Amino acid sequence: MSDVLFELGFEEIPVLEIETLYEYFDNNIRELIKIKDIKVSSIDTYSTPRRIILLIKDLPKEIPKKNIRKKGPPVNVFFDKDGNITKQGNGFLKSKNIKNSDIEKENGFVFYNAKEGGEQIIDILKNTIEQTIKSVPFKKTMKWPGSDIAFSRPIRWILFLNNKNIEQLEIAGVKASNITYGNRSVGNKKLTAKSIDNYFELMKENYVACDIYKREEQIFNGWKSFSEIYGIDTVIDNELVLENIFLTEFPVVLKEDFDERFLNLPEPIITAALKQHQKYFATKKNGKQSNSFIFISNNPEADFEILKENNKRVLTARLEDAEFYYKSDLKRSINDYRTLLNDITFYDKLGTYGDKINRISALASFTDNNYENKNIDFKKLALISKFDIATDMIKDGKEFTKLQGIIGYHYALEMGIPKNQAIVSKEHYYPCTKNDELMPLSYESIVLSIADKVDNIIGAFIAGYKPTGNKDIMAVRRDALALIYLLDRENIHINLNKVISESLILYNISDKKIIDEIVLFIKTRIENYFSEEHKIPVDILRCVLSVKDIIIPEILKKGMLINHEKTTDDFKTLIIGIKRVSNILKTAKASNIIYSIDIKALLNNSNQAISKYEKSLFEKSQSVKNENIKFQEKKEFDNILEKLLSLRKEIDDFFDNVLVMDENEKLRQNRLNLLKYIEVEFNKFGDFSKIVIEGEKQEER
Amino acid sequence: MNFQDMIIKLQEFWASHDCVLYQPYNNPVGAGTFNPATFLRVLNDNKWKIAFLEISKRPKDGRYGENPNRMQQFYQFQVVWQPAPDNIQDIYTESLRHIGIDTDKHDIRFVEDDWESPTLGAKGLGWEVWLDGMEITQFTYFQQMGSIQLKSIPVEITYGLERIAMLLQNKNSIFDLNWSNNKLWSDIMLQSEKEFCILNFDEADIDYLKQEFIKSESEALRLSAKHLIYPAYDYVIKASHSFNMLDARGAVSPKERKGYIQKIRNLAKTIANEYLKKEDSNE
Repeated sequence: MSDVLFELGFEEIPVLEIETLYEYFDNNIRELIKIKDIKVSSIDTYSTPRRIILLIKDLPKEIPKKNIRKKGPPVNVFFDKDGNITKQGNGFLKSKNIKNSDIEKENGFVFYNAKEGGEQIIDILKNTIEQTIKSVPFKKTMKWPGSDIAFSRPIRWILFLNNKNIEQLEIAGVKASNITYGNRSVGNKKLTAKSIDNYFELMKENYVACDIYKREEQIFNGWKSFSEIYGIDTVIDNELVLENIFLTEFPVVLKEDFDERFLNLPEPIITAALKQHQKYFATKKNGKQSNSFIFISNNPEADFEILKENNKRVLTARLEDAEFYYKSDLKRSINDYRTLLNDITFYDKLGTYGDKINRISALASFTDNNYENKNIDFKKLALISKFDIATDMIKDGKEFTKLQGIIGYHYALEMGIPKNQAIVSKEHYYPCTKNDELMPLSYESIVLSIADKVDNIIGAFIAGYKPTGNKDIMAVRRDALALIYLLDRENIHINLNKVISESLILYNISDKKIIDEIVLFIKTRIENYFSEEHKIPVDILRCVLSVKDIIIPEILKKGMLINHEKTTDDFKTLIIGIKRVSNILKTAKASNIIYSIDIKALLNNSNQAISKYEKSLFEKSQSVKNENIKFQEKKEFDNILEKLLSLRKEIDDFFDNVLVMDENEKLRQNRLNLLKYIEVEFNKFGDFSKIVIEGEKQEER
Repeated sequence: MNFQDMIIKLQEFWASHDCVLYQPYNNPVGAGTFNPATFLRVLNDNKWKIAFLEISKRPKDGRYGENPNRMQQFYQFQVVWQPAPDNIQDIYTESLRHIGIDTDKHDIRFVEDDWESPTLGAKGLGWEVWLDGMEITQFTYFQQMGSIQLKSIPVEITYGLERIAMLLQNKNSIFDLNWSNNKLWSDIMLQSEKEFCILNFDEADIDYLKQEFIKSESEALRLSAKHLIYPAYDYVIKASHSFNMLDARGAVSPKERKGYIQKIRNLAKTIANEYLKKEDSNE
């Protein structure tokens, strides 16, 4: 048994990529130890921007040898009729490296004792390390001189110790040794590790905190001490913490103050200037934004006064930029921005943002009329929601661009627009994704959010950016899911078909094919959403989505009602009946849904009487239909479903006793009409033939 | 250390590492990568080590000489080393010490930033180098140039000279930088900065620029067909600058933008391929 230390050293790998590398490496090593059932005392992996480290304690030398009884080929393949070993039999012995005498016969098969194990574990480990390094799923890789593999950044050293000895290994033209390097910011010293313990001592002495959690702790401790000394609280931002952990090997937490005059800028602007590029933390004092900021240095031996001064200088330049934009942007009125928006293209073929504002204003009014009908004028609100796109702060394309909507809100307030109107600038983007915590609160924001998202989705299909595979240029899959989430969570009963049609009219498009594509796209998202979020099976969703009107809360309600019934035997029997109705109608067309109950009149005074089963099915269906008209008005879907389910017995009896495809054409047609009558009634709720019952293959879409 | 001494020191340092000291190009470029000593010379897998001052003209970035940190023209010091040596990060750090930055007292960091130029069809992986939070250098291992996958990987180091000088001289404004011992940056550059901003944003003749773009494009193609690589490439640089000027004048709609960039990229690609072909036939 021995302790093994492996370190791969490279030039600084980006934050997200180092996370990928670390997880992949850690997983693969642990997986190997588990699969090969290797008993070790401990496995530890560490990583910094410049290295990943693996430490295994008490790694055994070889995989234990053991005999395993294994099944071979059938006896009649292994031996011929005379009991001699066949050609195949000899081949088998050779391939397993065993002798004739190792073979036993049992239950018509040949059995043998296989010897397993004995491999050198260090060799297996080396192989896994090498294969892992060569196959890391980085987003982006590069080549460099001397490398035969692609990696996120050049690999520069490998330290590989087995107790005190160097293990041989070569990856990307780099040979393993006992050499490593210290923290780059503190001189990047070349170091020789005499032993594994010595390696960790060297790391400590040279300011490399290998452990992620150690670095995290250093950052938290720094915050704590500043809180105690200055009474400032760091605004916690987990993403930013993670970035700083993977940008440093030894984080030192420092505090500096920027000029108080910048506190006049809205808080999100200050935070963006601190965070987006510089990775600094904002702080609060007594709950209010403070002009102190926290930054992280990687060099504990640096001159901290110089560091503070220089970091402050960089931040000041960024805040001055923001201040300049803020002041110059506010010199324009909202109507000036209306004019500027006419020159900014929304997307190719979809006009300018001026056009977009006109469309979402009209679509919001339409949505309002179909929702609570508050008769709100959306012209100005639509402008408030988008005007910041024409501001210099957003157009700059740098760290403040992410503040779209938030900038609009603050500018609108400065322009004297009442808060309840200004808020739409932020809120009409909410929810940005499904399950977003940020939701539009005002009625106006909700309506504009629906209009904006629908306008994006329809626009993508018109401009040729329909999402396919992993391509979704306008990111409308996200918009669609966010829209469904909004309608679901706020229980909004609007008919999406109507909004989609209106949006197409506003785009001046009347292509029927596009409407079908969009509706299919939306329905597929609804299937995804409800099956994930409300655990309703897809077949049931396909049933209730087959109706013409897409009203999200109704689809959910119906889906849940059916899901509740689905397991009962009565329901299953009914579905079998409905499938029969639908199958018959697929081959034989009904001429209409007018069923004649007066059989004598139908057959010109024939003596034939109508079957009582046929009669009772018709009468029951008629009464269900009439009752359901009332329930439909009140949207009492539970009652509608109950009524439909109540037809089970009559349908069953009908199929058991009546032959639909009668020789007499008139009788036959009359019965088909009855089936159609029933199908039409069911289809008002959903296409029940889409429901899958046990033992049946699901229909492919 | 004043601005000119810093340039002299950088030249001295890289010359001591056997770099050819080249000079700025004689046509306006947006980045040193456009200089044919970079763009063309890294296409093959020959050894190539070069260092030069470059004037980076970015018409859109100007602020009429009113913002002390933003200009339509900056100075870059450019190092191209092909194939990139293993210890290039260390050599670079040493160069900072050579110009008087005591790296032990500062916090030097290599922060992800993959530079690319869609007009040149140039792509690489690398970092922006931070010194105490300030971005002072762009560091790129080029993987692609002229839309051609490179065989031998060069490293390109681009020092932002004004920013480094601000740190060295402890100044908050580029205007106040000591260019020499008795002249400030503003003494030498400010008037031209202001005038060029007026040209870029207000005065440049849009029709003329559009014509210039079209003419440059056809000249580049004509000369490239005659295997006159360097002259043809000159017109790519001209076309690119005309486009940048049109962009600053607000004469390029977002829709047209893509088209312009693609045209320049295609020219660059054509000429890069011609360059390699000509080299093959010369061998």
